[in-house]
Amino acid sequence: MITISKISQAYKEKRILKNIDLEIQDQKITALIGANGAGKSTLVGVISRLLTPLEGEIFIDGVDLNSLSSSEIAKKLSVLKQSNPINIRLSVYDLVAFGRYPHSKGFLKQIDHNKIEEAITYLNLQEEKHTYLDQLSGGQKQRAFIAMILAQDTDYIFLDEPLNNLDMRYAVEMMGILQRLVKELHKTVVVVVHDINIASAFADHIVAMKDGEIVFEGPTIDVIEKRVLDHVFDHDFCIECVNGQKVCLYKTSSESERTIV
Amino acid sequence: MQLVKQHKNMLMIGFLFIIVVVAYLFLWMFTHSYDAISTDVFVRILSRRSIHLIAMMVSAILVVLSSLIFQTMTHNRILTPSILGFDSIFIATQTMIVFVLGNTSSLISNPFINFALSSITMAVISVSLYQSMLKKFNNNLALMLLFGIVIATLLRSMVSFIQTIMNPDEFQSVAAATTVTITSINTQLVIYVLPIMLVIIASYVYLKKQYDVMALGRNHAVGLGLNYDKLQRISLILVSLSLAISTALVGPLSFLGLMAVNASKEFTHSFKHGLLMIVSSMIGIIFLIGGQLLVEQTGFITSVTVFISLFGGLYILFLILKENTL
Repeated sequence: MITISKISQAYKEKRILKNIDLEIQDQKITALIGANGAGKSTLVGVISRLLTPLEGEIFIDGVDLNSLSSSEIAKKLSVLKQSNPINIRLSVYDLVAFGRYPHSKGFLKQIDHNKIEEAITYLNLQEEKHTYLDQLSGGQKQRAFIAMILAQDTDYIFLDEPLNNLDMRYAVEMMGILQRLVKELHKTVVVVVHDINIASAFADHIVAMKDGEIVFEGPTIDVIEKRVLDHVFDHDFCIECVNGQKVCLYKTSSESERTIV
Repeated sequence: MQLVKQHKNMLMIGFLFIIVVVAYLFLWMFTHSYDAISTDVFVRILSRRSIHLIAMMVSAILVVLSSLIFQTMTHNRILTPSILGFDSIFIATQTMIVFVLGNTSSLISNPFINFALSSITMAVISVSLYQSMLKKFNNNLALMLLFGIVIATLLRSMVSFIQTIMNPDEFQSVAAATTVTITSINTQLVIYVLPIMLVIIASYVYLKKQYDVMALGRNHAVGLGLNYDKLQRISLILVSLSLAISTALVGPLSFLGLMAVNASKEFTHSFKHGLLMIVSSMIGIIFLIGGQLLVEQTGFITSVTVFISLFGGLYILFLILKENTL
């Protein structure tokens, strides 16, 4: 279990995270939602130590992150940030092989090659194994990055907007992959998503952030509520239940005009 | 298919490398007409040339590797320290040292002290400059280029101002110190500096796998457990030291790093720093020693830098036009 205790972070004067306390539950998909600038990405950055927090501690299975070396952390927790431009020419295999770096330090043994093959097979990329990343479609590329994370073989996986630039088909495919990671491989996945309906459909647990604070946290069914979401997004939502699943609908401008009239 | 072509390229580079080295050691025997050369003289010339060869090879390797690592740190294929004004820093340092101390000072005339003084000054200046650049500009290519151009222009103007008010003797010693002068390398100095240079090269080689990860960018690298900021600090010091030492030893080699690194990336199509280090070093050596041979054969009409810039510039133009990408 990952426990976050009193984390604060600021860019210059602006406070981005204010005293965040959070427990991430094992073997579940936790979705982080919130408006732009609510601090979701910053929180993921702090947990994955891309950013150093101003205050607070993070415990992973009861151990303080600060007491671990960066390569030890990388064996427990992997992270994929939004938009990852890589300006070197890599094949899918090369990229996935980098996932073994925390274990192999770059000198790949047989066990590493096996793990790489496993990850590639798991994400159905066998045919693209020797294709260069820049020749892949957006969905395939994102799968290749997930394969890298999988090869890293960590219990905890943090994904910062993995659905960015993916169309509906690939977005759903990606979330399906994450569900399989949790169900079949017993991973714990934390994912930042913008689309509330995706969170509603695929997440087990939702953490809602606003202005650097966690304003609501709970099982998906409890968070997708008009009262909660209206407060989180400062928007007038319309929530319906379709086939037993809650969906949020947009208010179009003509409707809001009508309500004003 | 591509693999076969790569192997052919590699073989060709290795072959050229050996030719150039052998030619540098022995070609003088055939082109200069000595009537009867005694073994004694032969050995003396050969050992002198061997030391020059080693000095050139090690300097070329330092310049090339530092360019390669600098490009990995800044995540692009255009910038090298030379392009960001390192040569101007060198010339400015030399000018300032002579100007402040005077050319008769023992600090200038003693080659060891002069070497230590100029390389340490340069290393300190470049570490502080590039440190702030890497921190502030967040690898923004345009900003870094602008910064480099401004630094280079600023220092050049400063140098030309100081050189105008210098006396001719001082000007002469600055001029002598700032051109590539392989034939006048102090062999004593080479022997003392060589261990330091080898330690730096060994450090680059030791860190090669970490550089592979660094090339993925900060986010991925940190995620994979690389201590990115520490590696960046160490690399910056290594790069500055390599350039300072090699420049103080043989003079500024402007284009060499850019050219050798890009050529090796074209030839190998690899991202592995281990391979890139070997290939780019060999290409660098081929160009530097080949250039020096040309200079000798043409009766010292010009300096090596001119040859390197001439062929290197043309080659880079060719590469950019052919590949159409950077």
